[in-house]
Amino acid sequence: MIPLLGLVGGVLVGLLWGPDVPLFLQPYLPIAVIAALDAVFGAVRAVLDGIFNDKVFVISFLANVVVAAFIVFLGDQLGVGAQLSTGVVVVLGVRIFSNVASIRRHLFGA
Amino acid sequence: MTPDQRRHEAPAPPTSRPGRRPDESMTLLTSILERPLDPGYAAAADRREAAGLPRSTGTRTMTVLVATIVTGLLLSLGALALRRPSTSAQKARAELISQVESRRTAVDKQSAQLHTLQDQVDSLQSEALAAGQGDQAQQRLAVLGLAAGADVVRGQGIRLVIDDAPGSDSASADGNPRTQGKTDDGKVLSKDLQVIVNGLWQAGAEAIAVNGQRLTSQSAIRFAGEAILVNFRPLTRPYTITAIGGSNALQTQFAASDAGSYLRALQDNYGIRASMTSVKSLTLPAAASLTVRSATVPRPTGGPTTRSTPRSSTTTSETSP
Repeated sequence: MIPLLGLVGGVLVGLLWGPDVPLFLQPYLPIAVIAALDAVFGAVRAVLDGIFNDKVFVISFLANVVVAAFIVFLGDQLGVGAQLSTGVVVVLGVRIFSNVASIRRHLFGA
Repeated sequence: MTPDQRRHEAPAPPTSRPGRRPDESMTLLTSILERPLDPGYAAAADRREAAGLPRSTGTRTMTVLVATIVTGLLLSLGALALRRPSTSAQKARAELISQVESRRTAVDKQSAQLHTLQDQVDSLQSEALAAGQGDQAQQRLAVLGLAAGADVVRGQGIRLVIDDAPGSDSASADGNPRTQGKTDDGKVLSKDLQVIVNGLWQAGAEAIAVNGQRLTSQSAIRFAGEAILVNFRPLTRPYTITAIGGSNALQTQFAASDAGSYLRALQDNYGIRASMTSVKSLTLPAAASLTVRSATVPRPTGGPTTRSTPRSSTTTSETSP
């Protein structure tokens, strides 16, 4: 319940407060969002598996976002930002899908 | 206990050769697909179990609350920040579209106004001429107006529909001999229309319009990029040339002329489609771009009104720029 409240609260704060993201951070936003989603789905699966750990969740969340942003930054510096972004999206997307599949198996047994 | 957890605890499944998996060369894909969960969760759970604590910390902690708030904030910020550029682009696009549409309706309205004003001028002109016993002048005006394209013309004539060769849109270079060299060989060019229109003038056409654009001695048939312009209006295919005149004589004379053989050569060599039909009753609109450039007071012995003529009032075949 608390995580759901926190998520909704965060979305509301973002919608109501709505601060402008600085321009230099904008290229990293899509990747950061996907990395955050990956961490959230991983956490949900860990909860259902009964092995959730808050410290692991926070650290994996931060590390995912930072590493994803760093990869995009590195790609931009090397001139292959689009390709590296695609790679990050593919890897995180696959992880999100298989985590969601596992969650689905837990919840619906199918 | 789920199969996934078992795999966490015993990562090496028994194979015939211990230490080597059959899909060893694909370990990256395998680990992504089979173990998407962060192994840190399992490791932390094992540590907690060894320390005598429950495997899970539970979700009711301050850390989780803060982390989820940050996540939600990130999601909404990302959605807000990334949606804005597309909406501004859409806004600009919608604005351009509305501008184009408003300009187009303005042009339509103004040309309709122009036509009503022209009708008014014509009726006033004939009134003035009738008041001043200018029968001769009126006849002359009718002949000149017909030739100059200032009047709407009705009568029998021919309709010639010309279209690009079939398949010239798709740049397929296979089997089609005409699309081998240039991709637009099968397209109707402005030169083709010029030759055909000039041939129709030669064959005795009294008035010609292309796609509803009346040709006058000032009309130009030109290319602008890919489009053919007549009277500076872009035309779209198919090109319908309507010509007023004795339909039988027009057809035979046109077929016998150089332009007729040119058209046949276009059909035979380039596959351009052309069909000519004789029509009992055609109506050609008046040219919209005529303006009075010079007007003189006639001699006192003639009509008492001013004689106004469009700048060039001869029916020549100079349709090329």
